[in-house]
Amino acid sequence: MSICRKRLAEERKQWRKDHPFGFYAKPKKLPDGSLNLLEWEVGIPGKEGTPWAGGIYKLNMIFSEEYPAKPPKCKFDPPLFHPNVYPSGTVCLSILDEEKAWKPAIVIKQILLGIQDLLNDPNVNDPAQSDAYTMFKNDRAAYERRVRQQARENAPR
Amino acid sequence: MVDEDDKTQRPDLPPFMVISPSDVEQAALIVQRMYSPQTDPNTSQNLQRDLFELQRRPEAWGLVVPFVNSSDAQVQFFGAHTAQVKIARDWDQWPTLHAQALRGMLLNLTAQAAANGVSRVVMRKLYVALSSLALRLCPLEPSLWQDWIKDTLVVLIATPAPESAPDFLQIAVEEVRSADLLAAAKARMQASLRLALPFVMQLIMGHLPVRPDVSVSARLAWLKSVEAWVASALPGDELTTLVPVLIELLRNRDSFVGTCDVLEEIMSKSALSGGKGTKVLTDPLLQWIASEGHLILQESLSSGSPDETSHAFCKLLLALGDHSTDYLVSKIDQPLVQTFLKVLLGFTGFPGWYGIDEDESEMTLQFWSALQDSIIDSEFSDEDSTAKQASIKALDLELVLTLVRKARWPTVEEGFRTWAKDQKEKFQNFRRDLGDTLINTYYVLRDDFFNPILPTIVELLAPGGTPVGGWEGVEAAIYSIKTIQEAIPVGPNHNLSRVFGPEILGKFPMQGYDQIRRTALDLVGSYATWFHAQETPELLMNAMSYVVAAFSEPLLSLHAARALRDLCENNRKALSNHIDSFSNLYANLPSIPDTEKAKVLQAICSVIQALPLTGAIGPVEGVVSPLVVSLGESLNRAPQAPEEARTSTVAQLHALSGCAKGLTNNTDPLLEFSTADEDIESVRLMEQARQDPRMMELRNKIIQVLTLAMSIWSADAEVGDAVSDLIKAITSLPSDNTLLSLPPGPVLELVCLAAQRQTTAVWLSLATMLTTQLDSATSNVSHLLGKADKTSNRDTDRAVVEKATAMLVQYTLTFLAAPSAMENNPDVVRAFFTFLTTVSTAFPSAIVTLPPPLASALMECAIKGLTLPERYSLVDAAKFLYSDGAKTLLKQCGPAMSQALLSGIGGASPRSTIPNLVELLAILLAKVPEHRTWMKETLYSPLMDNPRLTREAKDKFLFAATSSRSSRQTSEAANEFSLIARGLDGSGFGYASLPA
Repeated sequence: MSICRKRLAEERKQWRKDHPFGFYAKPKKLPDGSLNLLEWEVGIPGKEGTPWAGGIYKLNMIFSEEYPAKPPKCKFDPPLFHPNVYPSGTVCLSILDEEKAWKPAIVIKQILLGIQDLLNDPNVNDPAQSDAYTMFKNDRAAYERRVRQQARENAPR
Repeated sequence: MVDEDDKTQRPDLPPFMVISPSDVEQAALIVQRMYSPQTDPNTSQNLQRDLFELQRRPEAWGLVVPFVNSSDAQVQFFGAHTAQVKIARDWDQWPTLHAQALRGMLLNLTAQAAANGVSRVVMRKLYVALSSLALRLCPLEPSLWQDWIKDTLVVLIATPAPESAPDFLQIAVEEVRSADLLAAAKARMQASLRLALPFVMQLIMGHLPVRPDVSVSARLAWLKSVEAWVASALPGDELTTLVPVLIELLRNRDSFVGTCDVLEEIMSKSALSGGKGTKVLTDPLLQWIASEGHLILQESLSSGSPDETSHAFCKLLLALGDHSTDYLVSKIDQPLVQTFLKVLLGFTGFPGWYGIDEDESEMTLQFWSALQDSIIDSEFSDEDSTAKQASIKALDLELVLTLVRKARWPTVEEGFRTWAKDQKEKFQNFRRDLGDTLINTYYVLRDDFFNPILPTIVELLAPGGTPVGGWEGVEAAIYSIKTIQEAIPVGPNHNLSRVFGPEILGKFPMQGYDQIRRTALDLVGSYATWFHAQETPELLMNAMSYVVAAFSEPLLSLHAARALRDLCENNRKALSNHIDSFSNLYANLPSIPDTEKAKVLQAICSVIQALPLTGAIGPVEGVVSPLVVSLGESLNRAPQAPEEARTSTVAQLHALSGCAKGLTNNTDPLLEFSTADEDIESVRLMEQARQDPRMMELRNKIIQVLTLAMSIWSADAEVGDAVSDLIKAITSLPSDNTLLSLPPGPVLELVCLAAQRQTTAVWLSLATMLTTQLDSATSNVSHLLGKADKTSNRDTDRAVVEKATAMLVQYTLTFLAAPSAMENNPDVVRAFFTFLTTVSTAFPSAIVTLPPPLASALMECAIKGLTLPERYSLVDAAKFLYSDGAKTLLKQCGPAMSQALLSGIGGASPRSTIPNLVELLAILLAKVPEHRTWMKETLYSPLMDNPRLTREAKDKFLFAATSSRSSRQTSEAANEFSLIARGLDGSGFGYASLPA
C-alpha cells in the first residue's frame, strides 16, 4: 500500500473512532462497495451563534498520490457563497496551500475544523470570489442575511 | 512546622543544600500565604511570582528536604515540585560530583515521605522528580543510574503505602515516553526499562490476581501502571504472559473497568496491536465473551439501562473488533464469532433512544463500518465461501432491522416534545452516521436490503389512515431507504417501484404529519435520477403530485421546492410530455414563498427547455413575461416606496434567474452523445428560434428592466448580488444560448455604467465573463454557422470591448488611486488585472488603443501591482504585463518596471511569485532591447542593496540573462539569482523547493 493510501486508511480509522460533533467525512465508494480513498465526501456544520448555523456544507476532498506531501484539494459542492471560496467551490485557505502553511502532519480533522473556522472568519487578504467578497466588504448586514439564507438551503436533509 | 532535625541532611551534599532554618521558615510562610484562601488574588499572584524567583536560585535546592519533611501539605508539595523543577530545569547548577549523593538523598526522602503517610499527590510529584533525575543520570556514559526503576521499587515496596510502587511505575514510564531526548539517550532509557522488566513483571504478576492481601484500590493502581507500561515498555512475550491473567481478572467486577482499560490498551497500542496475537488474545476473549461476558449485556438489558460495567464491556468488544476485524471476518461463520457479533448487535440495538437512554449504539457504528470494509476486501476460498456469505447476509439483515428500529424518532407520547434542541440535533447526527452503516449493508445485500423493510412498511400502512403506533416507524424506514440512494444503480428496481407506487408513497399523508412528509419529499428528491431510467412515467407523475401538494404547507415548502427542482431537472424529457399539468403549479405560484419561487420557476423552465423549440416559445413567454412586467412595476414604485420596491425587485430578479437557469441545457455529456454536425444543427435551430419576434421582444424588455434596476440600485449590495446572479444565468457562450440568453455586448455596457457608480470586483468579474463571451461569439459560432458577416460582427464586438475597457480602466484607476487602495482592495486589484489579461488576449487592440495618458497610468498601476505583498495580486499583475496587448506598452515604462521586477526576484517578493516574474523578465529581454540597459542600471543602483547580492552575483546574472538564447536559460539564471538573494543558494532545500 502506498504511503498516501496507508495514511488515508489510518485517517479513516481515526475519524471513525473520534470526530468533532456534527461533522461527517467518508471516502467515496465504487459501485462494488469498495473504497476510493482518494476522494472523500465531508460535511462541515456552521458554528452555533453565527449566521452559518443550521447548515451543513458539503465538500469534496480530493487527494493526490503525493498526499501527505501535498495537501488535498477541498471543493464545496455546490460552490459556496464565501469570500475565500472560488466560484468553482475550491477553498482558499493557508493550511491547504503547500506554499503557505500546509504540513504533512495536518490531519483531516484539523482541515475540517480550519474550514469551519474560516466560514465565519473570512481572510480579507485572499479574495477568491467577487460576489461574496464585495458584499462582505461593503454591506456586512446584507452579507449576513445572504449567509443565513444559504444556511437554510443547506439544512440537513 | 519545619523539621529542623532533618535525617536526610548529608555531609556529601553540596553546601548550598544547607540553608538556615529561619530562611526555610520564611519561605514556608510564603508558600502557606500563597495558598491561603484568606489571601486576595493579587497578593497571591505576587507571592507566586516571588516563589518562582526564589525557586530559580541555587539555594532553592536546600528547600527540598525541609519542605518535603514539613507537616504542611502545601509546603510538602512545593518541596517536591522544587525538586522536580530544579532537576529538570536548573541541572547546570548541580555539581556533577554530587550527582550520586542527590540520588541517595531523593530516594531516602521519598521513603521517609511514604513512611510519614504523605499524601498521594505529593508522592506522585516525588516520583516525577525521581524520574527526572533518572533522565539526567541514566543516559550518561557510563550510566550513573541504570537500575533506577528497581532501586526505587525496592524502596517503595518496603513502605506501608500499597499504591506507591504502581504509581511510581506508571509515572516512570510516562516520563520516559514524553521526555525529549536524543536518540542515543532515548535508547539508554529504553534499555533501563528493559533491565527492570523481570522485576517489574514479578511485581505485576504478584499483585494482579485476586488475593485477600491486595486491596481493590491497590489492584486498580497496579492495573493503571500496567496500562502505562503496555504501549511502550512491554514486549510481546511479557504481554503473552499477562493477557491470560487479565482475562481471568475480567471475572472480578470490582476491577472490571480497569482490566478492560488495560486489555483495550494492549489491543490498540501494544506489540500485540493491529490484529496480532489471535491465539493468546482474540480467541480467549471470544471464548470468555461466549461463556461469561455476554451475561453483562443481559444484565444491562434486564436493568433497562447500561451502567459503568456494561459501558466498559461494550468498549472492550469494540477494541477487540477493531483489533481483530480481518480475523473475525475470516471466521465469521464460527459460533464464537457469531456470538461476539450478536452481543455487539445487542448494544447497537439497545432499547431506548440514543442520547437519552443510552450512548452505546452510536459507539458500535464504527465497528460495523470497519467490518463491512473488511468484508468487501475479503476473498473467501470456494469451499467456505457459501457458509460465510450466508452468515454475512444473515448478520446484515439483522443489522438493517436493528438500525431501522434505532432510527425511529419518538412519538409525542414517548416524549418527543420534551427533547431539547441539542438532543434532537444529536439524534439527527446519529441518524446520519447510522445511514452510512446502512449503505455498507446495501453493498452486501443489494436487493435483499429491502426484504426486512418493505413488508414492515406495508404492514404498518395496511389499515389505512395513521399507522398503528404513529408514522414514526414508517418515517424511519423510508429515511433508511433514502440513506442508501447513492449506492443504488440507476435502472429498473422493483423494490423502489413499490416504494414510489400506490402501495407505499400513495398512502402517505398529504396533510399534517410534517416529519414523515418532509422525509418523503427528501426521499423523492434524492431518487430524482432514478425516475429518469423508468420505462413508464406513472411513478414519476405520482411523485410529482405528492411533491406539488406539499406546497400548501409553508413548513414543507423548502423540501418540496428542492424535490421539485431535482425531479424536473433530471426528468425534463419525460415531464415535457405532461407540460399541461404544470399549469396548476404555475397558477399557485403567488402562494409559494418568495424564498422558494425561484426554485419552482427553475423547475418549470427546465421542463420547458426539453420541449421542441417551436413549442417552447409560448410557454417561455407565458412564464417569463409576467415576471418582467412585475419587475417593471416594482421599479416604477421605487420613488414612492423605495424599500418595498427594492425588496420585491430582489425577489423578482432571483425569480428571473431561476427561469434562466432552468432553460439552460443540463445535458450530461456521459449520457447523451451528439455529433459535431448535430451540435451545429442545434445551434442553428436555437439561433432561428431566438429570432422569433416574441422572444426578441421579451429579451429587449428584460434588458430594459435590468437597465432600470441597475440605474436605481446597482450600488445596493443585495440588488447588486441579484443582478450579478442574473447576468451569470442569462448570458452564456454562444453554443449554450437559450431562448432567453441576452447578448453580451449590451450587458457589458450596463456593467460599465454600474462600475462607474461603484467600482467593485463584481462588475469587473462580470466584464471578464462577458468579454470571453464576446470573443467566443465571433470566433466560434459564426464560424460554426459559416456566417458571412463574421468580420463585421468581430468589428462591432471589438468596438464594444474597446469602449468598455477604456471606461473600466478609467474608473478602476481612479478607485485605486486613493492612498493604500491597492493594498486594501485585493479583490478589485485581482479582478481588474484578470479582466485586463482577458481583454489583452482576446482583443489586444483594446489595450493598444487606450489613450496614452490612460495607458501610462495603467502601466504604472500594473508595476505597482508587482510590488504588492499579496501574492495573487502580484501574479495577476504580472500575467497582465506579459499578455499580448500589454507587450506593446512595455517600452513606455521601462526603468520602473525593471526596478519592480528585479527587486521582486532579488528578495522583495514571495518565492512562489518568481515563475511569474521570471516569465515577464524573459519576455522583456526578448522583445524590448532597451531592457538590457535598464536591467544593468537597476542591478547596480543603490536600490539593489541586498548584501547577499554581491557584485560577482550581479555580474553573473546580468551576463547569463542578457546573453541567453532561450527563456529556459533566462529562467535558470533568474532562479539562481533569487536563491542567492534569499541565502538559499547551494542548499538542497532551495533547489528542491523552487516553484514550478
